[in-house]
Formats: sequence, C-alpha cells, structure tokens
Amino acid sequence: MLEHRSRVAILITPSVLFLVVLFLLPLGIMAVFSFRTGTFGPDRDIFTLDHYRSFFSNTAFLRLLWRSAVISFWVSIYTVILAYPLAHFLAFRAGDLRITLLTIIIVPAWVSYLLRVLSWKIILGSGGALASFLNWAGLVEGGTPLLLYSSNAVVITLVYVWIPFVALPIFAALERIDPSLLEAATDLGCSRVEAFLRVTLPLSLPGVVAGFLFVFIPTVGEYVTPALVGGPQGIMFGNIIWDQFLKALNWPLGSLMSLAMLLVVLIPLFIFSRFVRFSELAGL
Amino acid sequence: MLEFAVELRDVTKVFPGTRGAPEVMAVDHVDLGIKRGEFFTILGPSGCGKTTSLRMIAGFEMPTSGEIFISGKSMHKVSPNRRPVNTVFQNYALFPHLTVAKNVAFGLRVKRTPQQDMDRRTTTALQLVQLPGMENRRPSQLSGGQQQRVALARALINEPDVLLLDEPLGALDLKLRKAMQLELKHLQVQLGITFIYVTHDQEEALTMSDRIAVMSHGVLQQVDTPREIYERPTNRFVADFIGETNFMTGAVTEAGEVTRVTIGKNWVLGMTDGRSLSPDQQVTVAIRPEKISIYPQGTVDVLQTEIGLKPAELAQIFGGQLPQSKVDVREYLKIEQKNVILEGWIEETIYIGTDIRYRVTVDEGVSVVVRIQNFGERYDTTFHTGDKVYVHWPAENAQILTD
Amino acid sequence: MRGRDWLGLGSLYYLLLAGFLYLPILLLLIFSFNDSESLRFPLDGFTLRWYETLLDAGELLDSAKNSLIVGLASSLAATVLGTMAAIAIMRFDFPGKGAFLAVSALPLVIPSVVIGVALLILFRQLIDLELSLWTVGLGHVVINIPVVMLIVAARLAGFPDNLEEAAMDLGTSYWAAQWRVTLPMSLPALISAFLTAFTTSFDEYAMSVFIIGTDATLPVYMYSQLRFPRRLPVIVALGAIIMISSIVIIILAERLRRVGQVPVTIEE
Repeated sequence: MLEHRSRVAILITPSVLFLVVLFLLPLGIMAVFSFRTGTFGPDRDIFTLDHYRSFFSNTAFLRLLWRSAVISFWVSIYTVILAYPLAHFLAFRAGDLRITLLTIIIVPAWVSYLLRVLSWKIILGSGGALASFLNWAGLVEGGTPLLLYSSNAVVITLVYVWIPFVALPIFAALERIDPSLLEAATDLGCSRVEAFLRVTLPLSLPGVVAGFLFVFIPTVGEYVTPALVGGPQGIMFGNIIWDQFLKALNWPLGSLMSLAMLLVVLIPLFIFSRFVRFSELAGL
Repeated sequence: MLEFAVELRDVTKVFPGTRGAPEVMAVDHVDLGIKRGEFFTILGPSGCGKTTSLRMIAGFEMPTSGEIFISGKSMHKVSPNRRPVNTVFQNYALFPHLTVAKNVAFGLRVKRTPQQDMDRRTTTALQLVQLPGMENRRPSQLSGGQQQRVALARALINEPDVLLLDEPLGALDLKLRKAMQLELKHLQVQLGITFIYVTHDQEEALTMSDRIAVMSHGVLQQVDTPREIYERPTNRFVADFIGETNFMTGAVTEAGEVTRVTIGKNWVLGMTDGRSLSPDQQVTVAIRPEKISIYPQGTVDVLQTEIGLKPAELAQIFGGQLPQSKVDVREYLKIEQKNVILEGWIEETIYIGTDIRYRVTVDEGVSVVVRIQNFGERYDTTFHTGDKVYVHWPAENAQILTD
Repeated sequence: MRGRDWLGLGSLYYLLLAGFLYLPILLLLIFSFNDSESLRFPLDGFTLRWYETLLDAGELLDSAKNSLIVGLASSLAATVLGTMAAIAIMRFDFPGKGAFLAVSALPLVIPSVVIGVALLILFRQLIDLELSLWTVGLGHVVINIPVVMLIVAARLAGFPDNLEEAAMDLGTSYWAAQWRVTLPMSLPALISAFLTAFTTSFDEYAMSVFIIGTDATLPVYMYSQLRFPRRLPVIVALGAIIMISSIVIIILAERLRRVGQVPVTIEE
C-alpha cells in the first residue's frame, strides 16, 4: 500500500498545487477582498462591510444580476430546444452519416468566439449586413427595427454561439439509448410520439441537463457579447464586474459582485445535482 | 381461418444490401399456421430467419411480400403498437428509468387504465411470475432471471392474443434456464395464450413445444410435433440439427414401405415414409445412436440374453436342467424380420455418464455411433475398444432421406 | 406521422440549422474578400488586399505569435498535469479522491470572468507579480486541467489496468510501465486533449484580459481593434485563416480520439 500512496502522491501533487494555489487560493483571497475598503494603499487594509451594504441596497445591481440570470436561462432553454431535434435526428435517423453530420455542426463552434460575435454585430446592425441587404434587395425602406444593441441581440448571438456545444451531450445521451427499449415501447402500445415522450426523453434527460448547464454557467458571466452587441440596454452583470476591476478600480466591490455571481451559478448546479447523477454526465 | 392465432401466407423478407454487400433473403416464401393456445416454437441456427419472422409478426419488420394475419385480421401496414401481440425481448428491454411496477404497468398506462386497476393487475402479474413484492425495485437491482420475469409480466399483463418470445432464456445459466423452461411451459398451459417461441436450442424446443417449425436459410424445413420431428425428420438438415444422427449414403436396391440400401459391402434398411424412390437412386440413411444395439461376435446363450438371469438362477426356473440355447449371434439376430445386422469392430469408446458412446466401424470409411444406456454394474453391457461386434437395428428405427 | 415524414422533416431541420450556423461565418468570409472598408452590402468587388495587409500587420502577427506560444506551453503543461491526475483517478483509490475530483471539476463550472478577477487579485495583491504572458499562461493551465482529465480518463476507462500489471510482471517499474504501456495506448486521447486545450487557450479572451500584461494575445488584440471599423476587414481576413486551420486541427483531433476507442466493425 505504501508504494501506492507515493505513486498517487506523485501523480496528483502537481495538479493539486495548481488547483490550490491558482484556483482555490485566488477565490479565497477574492472572498476576503470583498471586505476591504479600497483597492490600493491604506484603504486596502481597513476591513468593512460598506460594500456589502451598498451592494445589497442597490436595487439596480440586484436587478441586473437577476436579469443576467434570466437572460442566461432563456439562452440555455432556447439553445437546448433548438439543439435537441438536431441531436435526435443525428442519433436516430442519420445512420452511418451521423458522425460526419455531427462534425459539420461542430465545426462552426471552432471559429474564434470573437469573430462569431462580430459576425452577428455585422448582421444585426442598422448600418450592417442584414439591413443593407434588405435595403439593397428592396424589401425594406430606411433602417430595420433596431435589433442590434438590445438584450435580444445578446440572446440571439449567444444561442448561435452555443448550439453546437449543446448538441454534443444531448447526442451522446440519445445515442446510448438501447433501440430495443423503443421497440418495447411500441410493442406495448406507444405511438411514435408517445414512445418519445415516455422513453426517449426521460432517458436523454442527463444529456439535456448537461447541455443546459454547459450554456447556463458561462453565460451568467458573459460580458464580451453584451459589450459588442448589447449596447446600454443589453448589458449583463459581467460588464459591471469588468467595470469595477478595470475602470472604477473598486476591487472590493468587484469581488463581492463576483461572489454574488458565483452564488447564482452554484444554486442551479446544486438543484440539478439532486436529480441527475453526475456520473452519467461524464459521458460527455 | 379463425382456428389460427397467427398465419403467415407466402411471407418473404428481403433485406437490401449495404455498402457493397448483396441483399439478403432472410425469409423465403414461408407459409405457417399457428393454432390458438399452442406453444409453437421456431427453431433453427443463427441467421436462419426465425427472429426476422418473429419481428414481422410483432410488426417491427414488414414483409417484402406475402401477408400476415393475427386472429384472422390482416396486419398489412399495421404498426406494432396496434397489434394484439406482445413481445418478450432477448435482452429483456426493461426501462431503466422506471421501477418494476411502472415497467410492468407500462402497456396499461399507455391505454390510460385507471390507477387502481393498474395496481391490482400489476400485483397479480408479479405474482404470476413469482416476483411478489418487487414493485419498487429498479431493473438494475435485479438478477438476470428476475429481469426476465419482469419482462414476461410486462408483456402478459396486457392479455395479448399471442405472446412472442425471442430467445428469452439465452442469457441465463444452465440450471436456471432449465427451471424457466418448465415454468414458461406451465404458464402457457395455465393461461391458454398462444406462445410463439424462437430459439436455436433444440433441446429447449423439444421440451416446451406443442409444435416446432425448423428453419434454415429462411426456408421452412419441417413443421411438426416434437416427437415427429425427432423420430421422423424430413430431411438431412432436420435430422442433423436435432439431436445426434448417423448418416450413411448408398444406392437404393429395393424400394417399398421399407427400402433396402446398399452401402459399400453392406446393405441396410430404413423407412420410406411415402417418398418416391427409384432403383439406384442415391439416398441417405439416417439413424439415431440410441436406436442401435450392439452384440458381441461369437456365440450367445439365448436364454441368458433374453431373460437376463445367470445360469444358476435360470436353472431354478427350468427345474435344474437348462436347455441348449447357445447360438451364433448372427443367426440369433436374423430371427426377427426386417432387421439390419452389420459386422464391425469398436473403434472408440467414450464414457458420458448416462450413456456410453461407441464408434463402430462397419466398412471402409463407414462407421456408426451407438449409445448404450449405462445400466450399472449388475447389467453391465460394456464393450471395449477393439471388440468385434455386430450392430443391429429394426428397419423402423431408420429413415431414408433424399435431401 | 409515418416514418418517412419524420425523416424528411429531420433532414430539413438539419439543413436549416446547419445553414444558420454557417451563414454568419460565410458572410465574414465574403467580406474578407470585399473591396471596401465597411462591412455592408452591396459588395464592392473582389480583392485580396486585406490578406496582403496581413503580412504587414506587425502588431497583429505579434499577438498571434504570442497566442501560439502561450497556447503551446499552457496546453503542454495542462496535458501533462491532467494526464497524471487522470491516471491517479482511474487507477487508484485514495483518501480525498472525491474531494480532489470535485475541486478539479470546479474550474468548469465557474465563469471565466470570476477566475480572471480572482487571479488578478492573487497576482497583483498577494504576490505583486507583474502581469504578462506568463500569468495568462498560468490561468490557461488552470482552466484546461479539467478538460484534459475528462478526455484522458474516458480513454483510460476503455482499457483495463492489468495491462500495466502485465508489464510490471514482466519486469518494468511502475513508472516505466506507464511510459511503455499506458501513455502509448492513450496517445490519441492525449493528442486530442492537447489540441482541445490549445484551441481553448488560443481563443480565450474573457479571463485573459484581466491577467494580461503589455504583450497581447490574439483575442485581446482583436478585441482592442474592434473599435476601429477600418481595421475590421484585416481582422476578418486573419480570422478566416485561423478558422480554416482550426477546422483542420479539430477534425484531426476527433479522428484521433476515436482511433483505438471504436472497435473495427466486422462485416457480416
């Protein structure tokens, strides 16, 4: 047993070091930082609850946090709803072609994220591609209703970004379903739709949850897309965290906001972990 | 037509070829009538078309041509969920995300049966398959045998006209399989439902079935009771597939109810069974090992052989004096009519426990396998390798096969 | 609905969705050849000048080079660390295994912005370390370790540990057995993990911007140029080139990951 201990120690120590020093420690320091008065100088060493007070009394902040969570929720739902039929088609109908077809869908995801967002900025802008195309095609006079610089633009863009990533775990979960289960369902009286609702859907749920969380978690922290296509109407909580750290230089407040965001992310995670075993998600 | 629970009329199934492989004719113009309340088995090696036939009855495959009738109604273009049949799958296909109770009641739930009814019938069904109290378990918590019973209950609870079973016992170990065979048979008799059973295990088929259909390469070879199939196979495939058979090829010398066939320097007899044979036709004589007897060459004391008592014991019956009863074995055997007597020597002896198996060479390149039941020490009839013997059988024990 | 109807519907849906996914990218591609500084219709004619300008775009190319270096280095580190951790997880039981698993999965469930600001505080407040490509690289390692672990662990699950035992039985030490047996057998997964980590690192912006110094990575540089509409076509041209290379790399990665995992099907 002793030799096993040393082997394990050698194998995991580097990762443990990295994760503790460069992940857990920073998070801890950040948590502590939220209690400091200021970012630099003497203010830094004075501890206070002022930031907490101002944050929780500032309804604008809280509303923005809530709105970011809501936006993330809708992005995740839309993405799952759009990706599911695709994954289902690939898993059940595409036969030998399914890996090829799946890869074709994944490929756009590996284009630079910034460029993908940029492409939507171009498409949605009033001086942009969609509008000028419609103008040139003679379909619309003047400017189109402003899609750009709104939270709708943020939602559309993010859904676009995430669909390929969500299709994967749903596809993996659907693929793993034993076809004889569906035959059994039809044998016992189910129509195609019923077999789907009673057997396919429940069994694919771990994949759906994985996909949902896969989108939801990063989207809560999104700030790049809102900055590029959201405009003042479409900013999200990530943007004001960015502000605190790189503009206002109010790191304590920014730390506090990050903690608040963490809470928003971890609560759905905790809820889902009650219902779905994560070992199944590992089939990602 | 209504006497048949299931009828297949000239049913053919062709699978299109994939990726350069040619198309496959899985089922070749099959006509089958399965009677109500019958335990009917489709038997054959892998790839013979038995599973495809079953799936066509269930509705998972559609015939390329021909028609299938269930309870008199054509199943043309009828999807599986609307057929009055239920299937027990080879891998059980239990829904992993549902409890045993919900699995069993699945078919009822789809028909929107009231909860109370479902509960009552689920309890009954589980008792029927001897799994009381398992309602709240999950399939993953059950053993193979238990899962199999749940699959059975799930199918039976819907009271189908016909129950289809696709090699359901394949994954079980030997002892459990044998126990389940009997249980299934009893269940079928008790419920009176028509069972259509698919297997490649001929012993299983013989044990459980009222009638068996033997299939090979998509073609029906013989449809008969287990006894007829075993005692009177119609062709070489059936004779070979079921149990063990000796095959000898030769030319017909005399044809009649009993046919005489010349094999090398010997001749044998076998039953013609209505086949039309012409002189000099090449045929195969088939006889099962247990139907052949062995006698040592030399002389035999007839009284001792026939009555089986020792000389001192015999003397008691005959008042002290034994009549002369020693005779040459061959003469003795010739007394009865229509017998086959072949001279040979024992090439191989294998002790199997219940029997002893002998390979007897009777001519150049011609040998027969004989099984003698192991009667124990007192009635020991053991021979040894190298012994010169006669093998013997009455004509009724052999069949003349033309294909 | 009959089976055939669903097939047609499904195919249609696939085509629509695939079209939706590719259209914006194709649009960018078109604009990279468009002879105009503004990205709008109508098109002004075909040109290669944006691609030519790329050759002179010093800062742009520098940032690309930086991204390449950071990507290669951090991916290599993440692959090594993650592989070792995967071996520990899949082949051993030890106290604290559950906790280690939980902690190593955490970076996946925390938004990059939070990791970024936390690292910023660590580097500038606790250690007083100058921000640079090194700090960015360290951040990339942290977020890639879980991904590498996942990919390699999946591969390790696919073959039993008695292969290592067989090697040791034949005389090698444990570590030699890893080198001679485990790693070669996991090679496709290792390469796939490396490429996945690299692509993540190369494209990383959200976290990197907080912990970067004066030398920019490509995404950071690109973002800074987005305010200047005139610069956009050049960026789009570069993006087109990167896009094609990414596609090639990822297809390679997928092919490799499946080598050794999917058994050869025997034609019946």
